[in-house]
Amino acid sequence: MHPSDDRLHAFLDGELAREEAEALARVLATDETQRARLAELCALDGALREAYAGERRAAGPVLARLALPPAARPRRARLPWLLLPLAAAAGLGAGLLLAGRAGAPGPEVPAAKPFVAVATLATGPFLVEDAAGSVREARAGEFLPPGARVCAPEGVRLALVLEDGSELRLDRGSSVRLAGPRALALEAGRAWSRVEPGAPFHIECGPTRVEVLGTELSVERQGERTEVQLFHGSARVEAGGAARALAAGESALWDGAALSDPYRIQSEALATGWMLELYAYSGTHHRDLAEHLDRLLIEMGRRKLVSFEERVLESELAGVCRVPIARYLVSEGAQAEPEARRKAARVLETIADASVAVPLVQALTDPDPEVRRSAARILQRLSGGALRLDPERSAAGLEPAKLQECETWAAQRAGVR
Amino acid sequence: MPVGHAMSPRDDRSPASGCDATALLAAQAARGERAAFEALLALHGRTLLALARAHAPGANGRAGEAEEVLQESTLRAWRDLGALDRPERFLAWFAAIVQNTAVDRARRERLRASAELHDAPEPERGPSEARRLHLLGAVQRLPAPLREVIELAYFAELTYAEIAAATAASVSTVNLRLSQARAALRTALEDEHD
Repeated sequence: MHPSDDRLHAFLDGELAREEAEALARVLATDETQRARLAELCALDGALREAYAGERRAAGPVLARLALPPAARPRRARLPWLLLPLAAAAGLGAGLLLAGRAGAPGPEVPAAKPFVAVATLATGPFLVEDAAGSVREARAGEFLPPGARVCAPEGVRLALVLEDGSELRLDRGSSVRLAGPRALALEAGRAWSRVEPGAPFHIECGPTRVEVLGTELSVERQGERTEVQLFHGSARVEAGGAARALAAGESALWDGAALSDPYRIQSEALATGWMLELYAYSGTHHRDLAEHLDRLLIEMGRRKLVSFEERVLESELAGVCRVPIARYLVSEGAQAEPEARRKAARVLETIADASVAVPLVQALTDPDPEVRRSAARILQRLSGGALRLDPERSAAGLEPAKLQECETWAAQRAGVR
Repeated sequence: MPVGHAMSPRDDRSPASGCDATALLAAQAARGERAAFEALLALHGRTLLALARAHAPGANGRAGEAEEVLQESTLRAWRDLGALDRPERFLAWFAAIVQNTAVDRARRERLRASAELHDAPEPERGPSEARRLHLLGAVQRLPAPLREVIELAYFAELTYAEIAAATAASVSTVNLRLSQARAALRTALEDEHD
């Protein structure tokens, strides 16, 4: 194998999909020529990173100065903007822009206020208390200063973006203090956060302290009780003199007296179901909404497979479980549960209809030959024999042209069902 | 994960977690919400500065030029936000403004420079600093699309997907341009040693 230049660059940048990266790593382990190519790239990459680290340091003050002139309201007051070309011609453009930061005369121009977050979404008005104790009602689009306490009243959920790009969502009846850059204090209720990579992110919750190394977690506080659920990445929880390292999919509970050992989260989809309202409310988070609904379907499918016998799934529950079971079958999380997957494939042989044609075509490339065989049998049935799928040949692996034919057929069926 | 930071496989789940927030903020800013626009500046300041550095002629050699381009672009963007009909493409839209601003400024600069001579002596520099400046100079001589991906990858530390969003290019085009840019830089550095 001779990886092309762009593949090698993507590997260096950590941009290859896992499978391709692993294949390339195997080549590099045995091929000295490719290792030498990569070493040359690494040297250049290192030099560039070093050069740009200095550039970034020097740019800090530039970014700090980046702001609009405080009085600018362009679309509602056109006149000053008509004067801009004149100001620029006279060399005043930069002066106008810098007025707020350079302390230029003009009492009507307030200094830009620092902020640590902006509320991007709220299902209703919420409350903000600033560091001086002044409380006001706020809405989406609000700029939130350091030290502000944000309270989501009963009936209101909200989403914030922090200054480092991390996301924070608050459930109804929750209260959080924006303690500083990459630091929050959850005072009540439930918060979910997707943390941007970088320095550790800290969340305090009464006596519980969470150091988040990345990337998605939920913290819930009810009285003395605090539960931390880590969905992706890693984190460390400390309380009462004890500390626990959490891996993705693990949770820990402080019950007011002791910190539990890590335990598995039953279902991320169910644990974060409260955020559905935010997705639906925004109307712009279609990707998040679709992902969340998909996770819910997968979880429903898994639970049905675990909880019910095959004959029940094939009879009384057939109408409500074919889609969840099909989604579960081809989900990444199911890969570690071969028995449940085979059960899913067997059940689908009885209950599948065209609504699950697309995941069934995905199952034709499943790592398990049993699953591939079942998928071929089902698709052969659903297509009335038109796809001419031989289950035994499918179990051995289908050629790309046949797969493409199946994909086209499934897409058409999905479109007209 | 920023480009060049590790050789581990990418996370397949979400290429750019801040994308939806950007679209939402851009939509609010387009309705005249100043706070939303300032939040966009705070969130993407380094990316916008990287774009300004890529398009401002001699930005690395003339301190302040990229900043001037960015400041002027910021004003233009705020003025023209009403014309942003696809908030999810805010970064690519802003990039076009940066590019136009840099071209306009370069035109004005040429008029002014025609009557001036720049013959100030170069300050003394150590070998490490000289190498750094040589490398940054080589970046400056790259064609604009290649310079742009280098600035976004190394200055703004964006992933391929994020660079694609900021430049309205596909991820595979970003991959190809980075590969071409690094090849050109390696050649430039080898020429220096010869």
